Amino acid sequence: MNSPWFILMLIAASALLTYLLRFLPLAVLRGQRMRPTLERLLRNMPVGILTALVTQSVFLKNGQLTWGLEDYQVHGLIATLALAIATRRIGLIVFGGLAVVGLLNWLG
Amino acid sequence: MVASWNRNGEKEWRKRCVVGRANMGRPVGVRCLVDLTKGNRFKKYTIRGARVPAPNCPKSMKSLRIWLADPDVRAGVRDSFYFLPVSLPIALPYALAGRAAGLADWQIVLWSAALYAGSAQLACLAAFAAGGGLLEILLVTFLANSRHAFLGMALAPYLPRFHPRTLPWLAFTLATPTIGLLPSMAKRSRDLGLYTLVMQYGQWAQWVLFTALGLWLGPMLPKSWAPVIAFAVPAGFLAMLVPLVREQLPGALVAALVAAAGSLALTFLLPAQTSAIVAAVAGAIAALAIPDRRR
Repeated sequence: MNSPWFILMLIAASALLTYLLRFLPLAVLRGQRMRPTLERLLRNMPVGILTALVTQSVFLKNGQLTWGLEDYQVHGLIATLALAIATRRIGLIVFGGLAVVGLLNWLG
Repeated sequence: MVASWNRNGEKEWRKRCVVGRANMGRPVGVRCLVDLTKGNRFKKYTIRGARVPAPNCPKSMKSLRIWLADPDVRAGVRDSFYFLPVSLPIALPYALAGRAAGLADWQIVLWSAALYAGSAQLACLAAFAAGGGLLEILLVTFLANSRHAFLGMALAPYLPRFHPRTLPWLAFTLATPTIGLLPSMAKRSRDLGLYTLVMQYGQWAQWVLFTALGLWLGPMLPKSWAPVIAFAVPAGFLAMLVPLVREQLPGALVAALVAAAGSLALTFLLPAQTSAIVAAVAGAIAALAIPDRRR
């Protein structure tokens, strides 16, 4: 079943499906005059999506919620948040947060 | 300078300026857009020290040097590198899981290049490794990647600034960093389409490169590094999130709080990917209850 042709077909089909999921909203919404309420809703969507992804990345491990402060990622999250509030440099925020988690991990 | 396309597909150029000094009857400091569609066709503009031709000049005038001097190209290249640490923690396990599932190295890299779907790729791979058929794997692909449809919807307010011909290219590499970076760049960028394409394809190239590197590097990395590498994803997204919230206070703060609480609470009822989407929509709806201060 897992012949190279099957895998190639699988790659092509999944890529096409993913592409359509991305392209269709752009094609449909382009040129549409949106109501101010809808525009505000869509402008707030990135905030919602990013927050949900950040929260789940830190507090959800293998489908289980983790709250403990013994998790270095929670400390890293607090440090990254503080850096993000203090500065607008994305590189500094990302590498600063990683450095905090790396340091805590190294210190054990 | 701001590029936009009208309904007839014609390109329009507008210049941001401050009115008031020109005695236009408005207070000093009010921003407006001056239409430059007519006239000034071959006039050269100096932008941040780099001399570039007028945006609507003939193509022959745009050499590679001038193209590279374009502030939007430079900003796109710069911003694509910010997410270098974000690609690594997802590409590495994907490459290792691909090998474990019995895929050849070229198939792993090709799937990564064709899908460019981050963590959703791991879900597809898990379905493949579990022996799922084509339809089952496509269903998993649809569910895992449905988030991308919402990303496209979130771009809707900025779509008039993109040329219609760039949309198919834009869609291929549309990912979460785009919606994080675009709102702030929309205010500064001269040609938002150019910036976005350069930024997105820069990230796509890194993603493919890291998948290939993961095949080689993965088995060599010590396991104790796993929590540090895994933290790159939330750190990268948080770096984009805070400026977005800051710019759209107080509504965005409400959206963030509702989405954070919802994305965790809903995991008791729904799969993680679905609960993230539902929580994001709930957060955006909750923010509508707060009056918009920008108007």
